[in-house]
Amino acid sequence: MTGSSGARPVIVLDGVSRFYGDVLGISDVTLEIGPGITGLVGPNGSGKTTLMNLVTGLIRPSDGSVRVLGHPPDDPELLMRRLGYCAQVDAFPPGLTGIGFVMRYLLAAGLGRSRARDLALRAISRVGLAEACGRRVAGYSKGMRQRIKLAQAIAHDPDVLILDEPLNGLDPLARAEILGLFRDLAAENRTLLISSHILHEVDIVSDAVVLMNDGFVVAEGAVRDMREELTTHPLQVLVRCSRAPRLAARLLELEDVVEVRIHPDRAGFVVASRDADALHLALERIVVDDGVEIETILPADEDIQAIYNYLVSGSGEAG
Amino acid sequence: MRTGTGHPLPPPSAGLRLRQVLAVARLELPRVLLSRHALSVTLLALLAVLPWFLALLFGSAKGPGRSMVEFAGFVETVVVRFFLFIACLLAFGGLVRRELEQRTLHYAFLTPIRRELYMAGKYLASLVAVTLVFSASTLAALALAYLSGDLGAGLDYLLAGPGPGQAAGFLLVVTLATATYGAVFFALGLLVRRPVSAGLLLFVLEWLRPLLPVTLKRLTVSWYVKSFLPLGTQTAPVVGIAASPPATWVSCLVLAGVLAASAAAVVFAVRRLEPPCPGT
Repeated sequence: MTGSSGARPVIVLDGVSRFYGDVLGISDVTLEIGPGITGLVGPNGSGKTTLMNLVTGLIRPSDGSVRVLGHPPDDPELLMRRLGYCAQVDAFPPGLTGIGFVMRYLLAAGLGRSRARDLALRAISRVGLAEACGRRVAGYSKGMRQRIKLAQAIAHDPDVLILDEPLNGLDPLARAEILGLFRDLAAENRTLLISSHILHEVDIVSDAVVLMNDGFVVAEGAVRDMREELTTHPLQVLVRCSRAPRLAARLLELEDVVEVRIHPDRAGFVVASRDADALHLALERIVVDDGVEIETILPADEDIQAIYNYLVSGSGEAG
Repeated sequence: MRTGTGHPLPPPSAGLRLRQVLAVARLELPRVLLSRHALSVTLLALLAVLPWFLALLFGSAKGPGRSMVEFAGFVETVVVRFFLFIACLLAFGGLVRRELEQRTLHYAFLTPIRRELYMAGKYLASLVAVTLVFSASTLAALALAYLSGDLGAGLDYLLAGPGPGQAAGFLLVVTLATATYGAVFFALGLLVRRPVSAGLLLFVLEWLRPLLPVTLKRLTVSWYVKSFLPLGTQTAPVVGIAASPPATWVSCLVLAGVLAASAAAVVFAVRRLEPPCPGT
C-alpha cells in the first residue's frame, strides 16, 4: 500500500482496466492508497488522469472495481461529501465570479447561502485568492484559475483530495505556497493524490509515489523503498570531501562500484555502486583509514526522475 | 485518517434532496433566462401574440364568444404545436449538451448530489422559464382576443363572464405542453447527439396529426394536451381525419406516462454519462 504505512487504505483499485474503444487508458491496475500525500507520476498519456477520473467516478472502469473510503465512486451523494477533485480541465461555467463559482456547487449540495459563503471564503483564503474572489473567473490568469479550482475542490472540507496537475500555470512562488498548502492539508490527516509530470514537484511533498507508464503502474511505494528495490541499477552517491581523487580511487577497487566521476573542482565525485550497504561501509572505513574529511554524502539519484527513468527505460528491475 | 464526522455538508435525506433540486433550479433559472436560447424562446412567444395584435389593429369584430373558439384552435395549433414545440426543443434539447460543450458538467458530477437530482433541477428551471414566458404571451394574446371585437362585451366576458376560467384552462394547456415536450426533449438531448434532428421528426408528426389515423394521432403530445382546452376547437377539419380528443383522465394518464418514461430515460442516460475530461 502507498501512503502512510499501517493505516487502512482510503483508495482501492482492484484489477481496474479502462479502454476507450480500442485505446488503452489503464490496464489491470491494482493499487491501495493510504492517508498522506501520494504522488502519481508519469508522462502525458500514461494514464494518470484516467486513473483519477475512475477514482472520482467521472468515468467507469471497463473491468475491475474502485472504492474510495469504502464507497463505490458512482454514489456521489455519499462519496462526494468526503472527496474533492481538482480536475485538469481549465473551463468554468460562464459569467461567474471566483466566489460565485465556489459557492455554486456548495449551494447545489444543499447548503444555505451564508454557510456556503463562509466555506467558500475560507477555501479561497487558503489558496491565497481572497482579494480577487469578487472578480469574474473569465478575467483570471492561468494561475488564478488553478487556485480557484483548488478552492472549489477543498471548500467542503473533504477527507480525500484528488489533484490533477494542480501546479500547472503557477509561478515558482505560488508553487511553493501551494505545496505548503498540500503539506498542511495532509497534516490534517487527509489523503491527497497528486499527479504531475514534473517529477521533482511531487517528489518533495509525497510520502509515496505511484509511477505510471503506458497505462500500467510501473512501481509504487515510498521513494526510498522503491530505489532500494532497483537492485540491478547502480545507486549513485555524491561525495564532497578533501582528497577526493584519492578516495575515488580507493572506492573503484570495490567489487560493486561500477563508476566514479570526479567533479571538475576535484573536491567531490559521484560514485555508482550496485550495493549501497557495502559502499557506505567502505566509505566509512576508507575515511577513517586515510583521514579524509567528509563535507557531505548525498544520494544523487534518489529522486523520482531517476527512478522513473530507470523503470520506463527498462534498465532497472524492481525487486 | 479523518473519521468523516463534523463535515459541513449535511447527510443525505429526503429533505436535503428536495433542497438540492430547488437549489439547482434557483442557480439555473437566471442562466436560462439570460441565455442565448432565452432570446429565441421569448421571440417565439412574442410571435404567438402577433396575430391577435394585428387583429386588434385591423379590427376583425367577431365578439368574444366566437373569438374564444378561434383562440382555442389557435392555442392548440399555433402556440402548442408550433411556437411552444420549437421553444421547448431549443430550451430543453441542449440543456446538458451545452454543459458538455462548455466542459463544465464534471463540476456538477463532483458535487454530493445525485446526478438525476441535478438534472431535475435543470429541468425545473427551464420549465419555469418557458412556462412563464409562454403563459405571459398566451395571456396577452387572450386579452387581445377578448378586446378585438366589441370592447364592452369583451370586458364583460373578461371580468364577469367565463374569461378567468378560460384563462386558467389555457395556462394549464401551456404548462402541460411545456412539461411534456420539455421532458421528451430533455431526454432526447441526453440520448442522442443531435436532438434537433429527432425533434424535427416529432415536429412533422405533430403537424401531420390532423391527417393521421387515430392510432397515429395517439403518438403525438398535442393530441392529449388538446383534452385540456377550456373550449372545443373546430370539430370538422377542412382536411384530415376527424376524431374526438381522448377523455381528460386518459390524457392525464398518458401525459404522466410520457413524463415518467422521459424521467426514466434521463436517469438511465445521466448515470452512464461520462463528461469529457483531458486524458479520456
